Amino acid sequence: MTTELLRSPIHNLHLELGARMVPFAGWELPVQYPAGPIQEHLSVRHAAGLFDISHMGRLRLEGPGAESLLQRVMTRNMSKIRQGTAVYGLITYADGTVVDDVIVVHRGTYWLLVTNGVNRVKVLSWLRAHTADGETTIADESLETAMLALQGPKACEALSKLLDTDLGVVGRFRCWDGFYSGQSILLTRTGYTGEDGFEILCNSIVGPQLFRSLLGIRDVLGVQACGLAARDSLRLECGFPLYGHEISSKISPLEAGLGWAISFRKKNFIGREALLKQNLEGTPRRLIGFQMVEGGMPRPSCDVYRGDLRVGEVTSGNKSPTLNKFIGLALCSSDLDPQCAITIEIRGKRRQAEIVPVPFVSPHY
Amino acid sequence: MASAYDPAELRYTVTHEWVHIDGGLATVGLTDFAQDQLSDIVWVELPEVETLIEEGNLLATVESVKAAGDVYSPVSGKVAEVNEELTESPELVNQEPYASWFCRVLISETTGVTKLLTLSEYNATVNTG
Repeated sequence: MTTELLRSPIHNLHLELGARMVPFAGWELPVQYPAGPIQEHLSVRHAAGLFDISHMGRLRLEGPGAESLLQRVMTRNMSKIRQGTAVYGLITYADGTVVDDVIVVHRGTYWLLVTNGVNRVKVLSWLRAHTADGETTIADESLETAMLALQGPKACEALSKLLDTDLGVVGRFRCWDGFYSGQSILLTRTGYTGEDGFEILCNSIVGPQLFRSLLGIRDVLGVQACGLAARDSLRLECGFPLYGHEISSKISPLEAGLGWAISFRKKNFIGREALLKQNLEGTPRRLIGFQMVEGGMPRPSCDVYRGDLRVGEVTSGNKSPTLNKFIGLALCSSDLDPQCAITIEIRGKRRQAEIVPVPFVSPHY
Repeated sequence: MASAYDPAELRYTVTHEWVHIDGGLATVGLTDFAQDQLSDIVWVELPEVETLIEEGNLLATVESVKAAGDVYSPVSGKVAEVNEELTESPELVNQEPYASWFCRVLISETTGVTKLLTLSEYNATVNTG
C-alpha cells in the first residue's frame, strides 16, 4: 500500500539545504542535513538549532464547550491554566493507557492543542467523539500552517534579534502574539530538546521565510538546521517520552514516570479511575534509564536481563552525543533493584549495562 | 590510519561492500555510498580472527545514529585480520571509507570472486537503486 506523503510548507527549502528526507508519521520530513545528526545535536546543546515541526498536529478548539471537553479528555486540570500559557499533558483511554501526549495553549477566545504528528487524526476523532454537537468547533489547522522550533542557549538571542524584541523577559510555557514580515505569528517558549527555546506557529507563506531568516543569522549565532534524528537523540538525553516508545496505547503514563502530569484532584476525566487504581496499587512495570558498560547500540525492543531472567525491554536507545555513551530507556519489572547489574541483548549477545538516573542530561532552562 | 585504496581498483557487491583482492587475501570495507546513507556511524562490531565465513554471511555490523547496517562477506574463507581501529573510532568509516577496511579474509574458494562488480557496474546499481 502506498499513500501520498504530506509535505511541509518548508519542504523545498529542506531540499535546497541538502536535507535527507524520510517518511515519518505520514509526512516526508528531513531526518538530517549535511552537517549530520551528531553535529546538529551538539549545535542545539551549545548554540541553537532550528527544526521544522509542521508535521505536528495543530487543532483549534472553540466554543462554549471547549474547556469542559479538554477537562474531560486531559489529565491536567485545565481550569487552572491561565490565558496566555501552555501546558503539557496527556490524553488517556479509559484503561489509563495513552491516546497522545500534547501541549495545550490557552488563547483566551480559543484553545490550541498540539499533538504528535502520528496521532493527529486519532486525536481529532477522539475529541469529536467526546463532544456534543454545537458545543465545540474543532478545526484541524495542521495542513494550512507551519510550525518551527528554535532551540538552544542562543535561541533567545537569535529570535530577539530577528523580531527586534527582548524575549529574555518571557517566561517558560508562556504564549504570545508576534509579528514577522507584516504577518501575525504565535510564539510559545516551549520545546522538547531540554534546552531553552521557542516554538513558532505561522502561516505557510511565512514559514519558509522565517526558517530561512533564522538560518541567515547563522554566522553570528550558529543556528543550525536540524532533522528528526537530532530531535530524537536530544529528547532521549533528557528522558522525555516519545509516543510509540515510552508511552502508547499499551503503556500507562504512571509506568513511564509521568505521574506529575496527572491531576488526580480533578474529579472526572477519561482514564482517571484506572490511573488512580494504578497509583494506589503500583504498576507492574516502570521505566528505567540505563547506560551501556560494554559497547553496543541498544535499540527498541532489545530484551533486558538480570542474570538469566528477562526483566523488560528497551523502548529507546542511542549514542548520547553529549555524554559520548550509549544510553537508553527500558520498561522493566517494577521490582527490579536499581542497584543491580543488568544486561541488554543486542543482536543475540547480552552486554553489560547499569541502571542510571534519568535524565541523562539535565534540561537547561 | 592506512592509506586509502583506489576505488577504481576495487571490486564491489550489490550489498555495498568493497573488496580488494590481493592473491588469496580479500580486504573488505563499506562503500562511500553506504557510509553516506548510514550517516554518523557510532559502533562497529567485528568478527573474531579465525572465524570461518561463507560468501554472503554476516561479517560485521555497523550502527549509526539512525540505523543498523550489515556488512556481508563477499568471499568464503577464514578471517585473518580485523581492523580494531574501527572499534575505537567508528567515525573513520564515514571519514575515510576506502581506508577503513573491516576485515581481511583468506579466500578458501574463488568461485564467488568472479561475481564481484567493477566500479562502473556498482555505480550503475546505486544510481538506479
